[in-house]
Amino acid sequence: MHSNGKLWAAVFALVAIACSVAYWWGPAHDMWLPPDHSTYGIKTDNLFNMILAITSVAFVGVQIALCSFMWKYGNDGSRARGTFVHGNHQLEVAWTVIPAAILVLIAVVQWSTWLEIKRPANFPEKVAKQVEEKRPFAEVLAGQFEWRITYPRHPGSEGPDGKIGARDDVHVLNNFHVPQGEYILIHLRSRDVLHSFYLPNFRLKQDAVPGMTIPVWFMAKGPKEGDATCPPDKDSVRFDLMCAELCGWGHYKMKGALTVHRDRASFDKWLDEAKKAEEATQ
Amino acid sequence: MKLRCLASLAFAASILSGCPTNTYPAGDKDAYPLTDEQVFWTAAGGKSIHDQQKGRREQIAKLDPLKDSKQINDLRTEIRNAEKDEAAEIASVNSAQVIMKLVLARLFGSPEHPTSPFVSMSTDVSPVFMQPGSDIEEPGSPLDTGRRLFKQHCIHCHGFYGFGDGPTANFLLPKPRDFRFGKVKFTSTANGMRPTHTDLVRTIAQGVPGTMMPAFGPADGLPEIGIFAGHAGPPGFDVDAVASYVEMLLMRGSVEVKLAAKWNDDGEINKGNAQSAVDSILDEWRQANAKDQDGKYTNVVEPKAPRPANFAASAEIGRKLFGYEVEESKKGEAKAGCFTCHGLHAKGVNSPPEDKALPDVPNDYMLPSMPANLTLGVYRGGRRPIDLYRRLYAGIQGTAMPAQANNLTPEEIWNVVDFIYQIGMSKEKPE
Repeated sequence: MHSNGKLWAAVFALVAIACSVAYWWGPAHDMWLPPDHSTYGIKTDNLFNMILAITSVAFVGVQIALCSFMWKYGNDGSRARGTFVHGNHQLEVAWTVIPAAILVLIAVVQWSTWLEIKRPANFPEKVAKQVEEKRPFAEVLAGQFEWRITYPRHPGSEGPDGKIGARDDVHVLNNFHVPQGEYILIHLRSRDVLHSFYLPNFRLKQDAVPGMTIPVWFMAKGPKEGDATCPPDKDSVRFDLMCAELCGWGHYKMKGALTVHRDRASFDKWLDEAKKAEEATQ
Repeated sequence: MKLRCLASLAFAASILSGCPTNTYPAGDKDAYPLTDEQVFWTAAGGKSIHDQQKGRREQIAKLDPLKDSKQINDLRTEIRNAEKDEAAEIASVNSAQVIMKLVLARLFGSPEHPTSPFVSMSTDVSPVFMQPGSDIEEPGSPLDTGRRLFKQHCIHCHGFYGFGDGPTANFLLPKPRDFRFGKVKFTSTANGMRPTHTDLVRTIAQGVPGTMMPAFGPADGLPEIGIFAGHAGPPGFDVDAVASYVEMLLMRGSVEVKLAAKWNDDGEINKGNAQSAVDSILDEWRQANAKDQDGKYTNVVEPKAPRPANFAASAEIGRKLFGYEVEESKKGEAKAGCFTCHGLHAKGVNSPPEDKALPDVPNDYMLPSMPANLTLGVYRGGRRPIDLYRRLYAGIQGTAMPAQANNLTPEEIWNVVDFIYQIGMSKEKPE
């Protein structure tokens, strides 16, 4: 049977070239990662870029080999049968050991960032203390298909007002407000099935597992950390909060908002208004 | 080889093109189908036709909603089929259905071109009364927008015509609302009255926690009606428009029920009794939505006493009124009598058998009653004190939750509200 080796080699090569061009063209035209406003976001982005560099080298190398072999050795009817080769032991060892080493390298390089974001013992000291005392800034209950947020009356404070479970908690739906420049620890829970708490602009994604209460933290960069998330002339800025784990028919629209306030005073004012609305007796 | 390529391309194209969105079940996009079930006629207060159906309904009321769902579904199907046959038999010898269809089409239009005797009853526009059959379907009008959004977001649960029979409804408990009854659960008006437009906006905007009804409100909420946060999507969702469309469906349902009751009682539908039926129903809707010059509703429940300042003392009185863990001898003192349905430990439908909750009281939808588990801290109609006050004062329409307006004083209602907040914090999980 004849195959059209040269034609398909050209097609594959074109696809590979188009991919490579896209990876150059996109970032140059503002189509790349969403703007990052998180204090640990830069670490995640650097890891991403490192892995992208490694895989790009592999991709280009493999595509060159693939397309050139298809071009040269495709069966257009003019060749004799191929020779049976018993394999090359050294080659096989090489192409096992080198990728394994690269993977181990990646694992080692990302380990500390993973711990910082995911493991309570490695959280920043202030946040770790809040985890131990069970004193989150808010509890986020993911449920089909909404985000139910419960704040203690004075989030982050030391007294009983800083704990969830009292009668004066503030209950809010879908719109998660936080002040910038402060550590935000949330207790992530699920009401029914798997969901995932995803803040694209803060490089944070955490599955909400039914039956588990998972401590999750982030900090929106404030003026002290350099690039403030919310400019001083605005009261607050809104970002996306999305569900990143398929949870049912409404998963595609299980969207909330993360509203980052200019400062703590602005956030407190909002929280007071929310509490007042919740206490209406008329 | 080529044939296979073509076949796979055609297959992909057919999947990617999506399902056609304009096919209606029953093939009728030019009219809302008439209800062919006598459950609505009996709900209207007409005569109950068959003792056989009564027996089946009583059977359903006795079943456990959480465990016996297959039996409940089977019984409901039997009732539906039997009533369909009855209705078909009667319809064949009676022209009343033809008249009903005409009247309803004139007043309320069709799924593609809905109209309403009231154009808009949103919070900042006073009701405009129009001649029946007026065409207000211009793109952008509230009903047209509402219809479009309803078709996009609501029909898979609430059904194409709002009959609560969408495909998703099969998996849900509590069931999505069937708008044919013209009733909703969470109203700010008194017992037996229709809901206000704002009640519908509130339910759509904040959803019903504890059920599958999601929140559709805008991201910043609707602070003017006390909803403080909402949804960041879907974008462009006009809650007010959808509330107008739902209101139309409810009105249509209530008119149909009333017409069917007239048919039942008078044996026929003629110009006279059709007109009086329509007038009386529209009056009920007008009355519920009546506003004063400042735009405030005049017929909503407002507490006649302020909420007590001392929460703990108030909750203690509320506990006694509720009958929480009351002894056998003292049961008469529990004035509100909540424990009879919600159980001695307020766990409602999750009560252990020794609490003897769940008397066999059915609800309108051929389902056994499911009194709320009050220990969960989930408040379906809203968690504000005024919301709980209204649930107690006016009861919950279409369910066995009674109105306490004539039984408890305003202070006593606040006491029970405070007690409900107190046990809602207990965080006990159901069995």
